[in-house]
Amino acid sequence: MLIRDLHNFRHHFYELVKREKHTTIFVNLDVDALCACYILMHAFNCDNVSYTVNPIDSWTSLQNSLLEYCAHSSYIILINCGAYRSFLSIDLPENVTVFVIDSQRPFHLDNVFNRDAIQLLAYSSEIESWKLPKVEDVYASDTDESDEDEEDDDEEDPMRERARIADRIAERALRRQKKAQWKRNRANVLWEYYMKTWYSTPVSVMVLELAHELNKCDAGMMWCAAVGLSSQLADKLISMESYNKVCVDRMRPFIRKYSPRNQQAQCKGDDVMKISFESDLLLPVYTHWTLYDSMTNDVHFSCQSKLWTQKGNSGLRHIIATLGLTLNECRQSYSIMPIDRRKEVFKILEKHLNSNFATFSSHFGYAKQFNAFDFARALSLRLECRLDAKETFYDRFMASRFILDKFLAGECAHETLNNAIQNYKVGLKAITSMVFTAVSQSHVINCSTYFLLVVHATSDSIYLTSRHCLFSFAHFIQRAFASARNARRMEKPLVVAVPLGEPDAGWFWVTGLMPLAEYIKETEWKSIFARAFEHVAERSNIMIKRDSFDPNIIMVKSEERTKFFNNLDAILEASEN
Amino acid sequence: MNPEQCEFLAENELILPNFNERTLQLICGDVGPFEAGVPIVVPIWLAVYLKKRHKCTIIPPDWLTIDELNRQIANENEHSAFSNVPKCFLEIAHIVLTHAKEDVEDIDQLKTLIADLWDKRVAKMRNSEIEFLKQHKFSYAQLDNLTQMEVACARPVLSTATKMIEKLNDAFHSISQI
Repeated sequence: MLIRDLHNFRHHFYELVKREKHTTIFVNLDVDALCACYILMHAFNCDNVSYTVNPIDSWTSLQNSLLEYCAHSSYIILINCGAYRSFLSIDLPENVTVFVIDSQRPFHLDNVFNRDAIQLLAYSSEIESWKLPKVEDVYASDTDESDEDEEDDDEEDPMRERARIADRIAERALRRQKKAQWKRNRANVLWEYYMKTWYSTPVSVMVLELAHELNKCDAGMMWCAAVGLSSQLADKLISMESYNKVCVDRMRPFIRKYSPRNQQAQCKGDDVMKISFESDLLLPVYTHWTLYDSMTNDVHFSCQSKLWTQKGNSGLRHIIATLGLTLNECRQSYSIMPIDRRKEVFKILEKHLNSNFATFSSHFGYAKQFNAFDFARALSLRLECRLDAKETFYDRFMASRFILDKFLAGECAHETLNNAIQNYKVGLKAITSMVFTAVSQSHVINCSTYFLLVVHATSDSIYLTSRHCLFSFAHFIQRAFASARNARRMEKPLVVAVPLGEPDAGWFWVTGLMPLAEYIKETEWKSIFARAFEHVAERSNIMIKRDSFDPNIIMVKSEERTKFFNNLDAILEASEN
Repeated sequence: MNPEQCEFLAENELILPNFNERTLQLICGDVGPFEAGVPIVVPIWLAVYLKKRHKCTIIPPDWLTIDELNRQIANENEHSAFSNVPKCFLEIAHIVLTHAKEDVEDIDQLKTLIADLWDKRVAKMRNSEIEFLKQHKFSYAQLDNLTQMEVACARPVLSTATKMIEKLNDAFHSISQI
């Protein structure tokens, strides 16, 4: 069932949960969910609601834990997991209600229509754009069946009985015809509805608005929402236009309230957090790095100077020279640059990149400033990447939460955060080197309907276990590949396969990207690959694991992968015609 | 007694929160029904508790403004003895300025002024302690208008100093008898 709009979120969700003895919150392992969980926990702490937070990373663990926790609490909250798949397969006990806050679309129709036990939170303005099919189109009512066999009167004479039998046969044939037509219609409707998957408003922004409605909002919570929103852009789940739209529509009242330039704000202390929204450069982590390193790892500059070729380095230096920056300046740490020179460099680069990008920065007092985008990047690597085999996903979740805690308490330069940023730089360099090897050694294969890249297993491919890195890698390589030669490369989608190490050895992670032309043109990034992968698996009986919460990422066995890719080829070709 | 204990005891002072919740009733301490928008007097510990849960705004005490503090400092400067300051001013100021930052204006200036006032009084205290210990025939001192925190700070100093003097005196007497 859908809960529409903020007012109902409060009354049908928060007020109910507040009165309960104990609730369980299941959180997906991504930054947006972590931030939303943080805001929700803050609200619960204010209201003395007792709760348990349980991070999960796959459908199987969700199913197992759900049944366990049903015994303790009758209200369960799922953040960023669970809307895409039906809950009919899980036998929930009678009194349990599950609230799902998810940014993934489309919602599964079983969850929307059938169960009262499942409540999904969404905004009405958005619901119209989904083109939800009507209930009658999708679910057969039971009354059709009961008309079939009527009672007979046996006293009639044979003539009339034969007529009545003929009538009844005609009726039954008509009903069967109608049912077949209804089934065809239903198949069409479902196909249309489920074909594309996309991401909508980040859950942290939804929960922030709920907290604001409850009057439990402060600068720290706004920062969490800013980080969640930036992480969606950093993970390449939404386009720049969608990001700007959310910033302008949803975040504007908060921006005004917590801005450092707000004259009405009474507290102007040194340790009070203020958040500003200003235009910024889309260079990764450049304030904590040198400009040169940041440019070599950035998609735009690498593709412009073709850094994977032998002339690449000199190309980049040429660009820097034309911009008017000295090489020395670029090679030294950005924070050492004097402030007026920094402003000039900023203007030059902004004009060059021309990306119209604005982001949130937090200010503590007058000196320490931190960018939400960089924070989201560092946090996502810490949270998602399985670098240390001994760390479970629970440990990673707690470590990321600790970083967020410390930051909000005012310690911007805490060592865990610094470590996270250093690790991010290492990870980014690893991804860039993988991209360069793939492009320069032409690892991208041209199948007829799409491009395929099977990544070689190196020590760096461990970074691709994180969704953020995987998508950054895929987008980077798509752009690099398309910039290499002809324009036809922009028209075909790209499929990336990554071999996995322990504990999933022998499996490949497969994900797909839509054609580059679409990403440039469209404001909403919708993907058909989730559905395509499902179809391939059904038609050709290949066993795939769709355990991840992101439906665009699946696991395929390495022996079956050639069969899988051939069938995918056939399906994409069929869908194009 | 250390500063934390003084702060704890100061939390029995009463200041005013501004509640914006529906009517609640608290049992312990007889803090009466709360009504949205109506100021009410509660103990500081309760005010801080509610503030953390975004359920009230704290109204700072009357003397916690720039003008009033400037007047107190001027007063302190004039007299060589201790002047009359609000009870537990340091503890209350510390609590309010840490927890209720949004409700107080010009927080940086207030912090400076409070520190100023505290420093002046501590300087006077130190001087009078030294004078007191110098007296070797009669020992007397007059202390009005001291706050609890200043007493707590002075106590360890004076007790160790006087014990030391006593030991020295005993030694002196035992030597002079030989």
